[in-house]
Amino acid sequence: VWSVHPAVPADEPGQWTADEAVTRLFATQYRPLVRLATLLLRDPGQAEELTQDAFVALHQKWGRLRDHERAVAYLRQTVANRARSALRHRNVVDRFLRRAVEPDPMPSAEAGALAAQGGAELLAAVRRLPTRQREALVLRYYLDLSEAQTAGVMGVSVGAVKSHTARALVALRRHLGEER
Amino acid sequence: MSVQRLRSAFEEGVAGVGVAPDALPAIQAKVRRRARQRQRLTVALAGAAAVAIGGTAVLLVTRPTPVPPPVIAPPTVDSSPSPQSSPTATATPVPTTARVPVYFGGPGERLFREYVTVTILYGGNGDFQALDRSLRGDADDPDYGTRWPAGARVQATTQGPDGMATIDLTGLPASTVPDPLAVQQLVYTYTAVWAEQGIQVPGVRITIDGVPVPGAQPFTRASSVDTLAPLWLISPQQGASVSRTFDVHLAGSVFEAAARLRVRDAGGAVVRDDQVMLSIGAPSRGEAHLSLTLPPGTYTLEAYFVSQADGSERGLDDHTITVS
Repeated sequence: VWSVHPAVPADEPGQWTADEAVTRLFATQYRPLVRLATLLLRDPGQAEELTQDAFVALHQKWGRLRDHERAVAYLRQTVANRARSALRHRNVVDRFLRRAVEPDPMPSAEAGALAAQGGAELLAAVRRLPTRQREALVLRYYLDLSEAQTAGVMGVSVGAVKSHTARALVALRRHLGEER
Repeated sequence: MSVQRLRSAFEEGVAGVGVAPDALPAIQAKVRRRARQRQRLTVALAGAAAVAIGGTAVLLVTRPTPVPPPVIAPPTVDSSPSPQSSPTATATPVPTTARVPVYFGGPGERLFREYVTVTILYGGNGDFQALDRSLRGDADDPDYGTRWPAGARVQATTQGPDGMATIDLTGLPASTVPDPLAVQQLVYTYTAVWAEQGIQVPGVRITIDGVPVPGAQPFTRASSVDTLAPLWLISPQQGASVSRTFDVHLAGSVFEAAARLRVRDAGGAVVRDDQVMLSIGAPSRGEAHLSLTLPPGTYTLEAYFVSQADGSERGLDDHTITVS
């Protein structure tokens, strides 16, 4: 049962109930996480679904987290893990159904203004990178996480983050160079 | 290309991504639903343990929500308590019902489909119950049945992280070699139940007491032309009661999309016999809806088509209904 919030919610995250933690973190983290998932997945609808599930998982885990920073890290990690899992599932389904690659459903409003600067083209190239490389780039340069934080979210070493990032940048530069 | 350019591309790329206005209530509803499912699963597992006889537990495993399972996260924040570790649950299961597609064997060595209402005790989408109905051949239409031997039962249905499903059967000799249509009966049923929820199951493994049956595992849907009956009278279903004016739904793969619908009264006399054009002809599967008005009484609706080769009637699917 969804508990009734106290009239004056406790401001110390350690005191929050699981319900409060979801409400508080939702206010600040939901939109950035949906956007993170969209960059990882390309599908805003699925991104939102997956982000909601991350909050449901947070509710279950709150008893152990009880800390704002750890909760945010947990949400990012859950979104990244589930996005990776969804992509793998999508690939399996695509392979079995021998389906042609779907048209990219990412909003293409940027097509006009950004095309001139190559933004859309750059994003398209990011989407073609291997999953881990794309994750590293998005976490480092969209969320502006440090290498250590990125390593934590991805569940890999700092060295692996450096190498994924470096390889991704090389691939992007090569790709953009080839198109000119 | 500078990193700054990448940052701008990311920012602008998601600038148009909005969020649902009811996202928070949606999360709260999922939290409540999850809590109920965990309770039910605990009850189900306790029940399964209670009926374990001779080392064979009847274990019902269903995936509660159509969400890709998470990859194992680092140990600092992962691993939830397993449902078995909360022995305090005392909730009584709340039965729900679902209308699910079920495929049956039928005349002409082909499959037919009925929608059946099943009762779900412990959560899930009804895939287990749909397979159970299919295996038992428990159809409304007496012309439909099962391609599986009597006694076959579903033991468990599971889905792996890759979406691949496994249907474990029991009550059969380990040496059972199902015929291809029997395999398709289960594959079509299982994938149809999930497809109704927008989930495409890439393949289905079938095991008997954990041992894979012979065949090209994992199985996928065989071509509908070779598997499904050429013509289905989808609704009204066998035994249905309808009002004077009712909708008739046909589907099938017939030459030039030309199907026929004949209506006989209780004495067997033909009341009418009409050509019905499906939306598309063979080899595609077309559909048609038409509205019929009949005086009260008992009737038999007969869907069929005329063979281009010899003019004979083929593909008969008939349902007896009551108009009131």
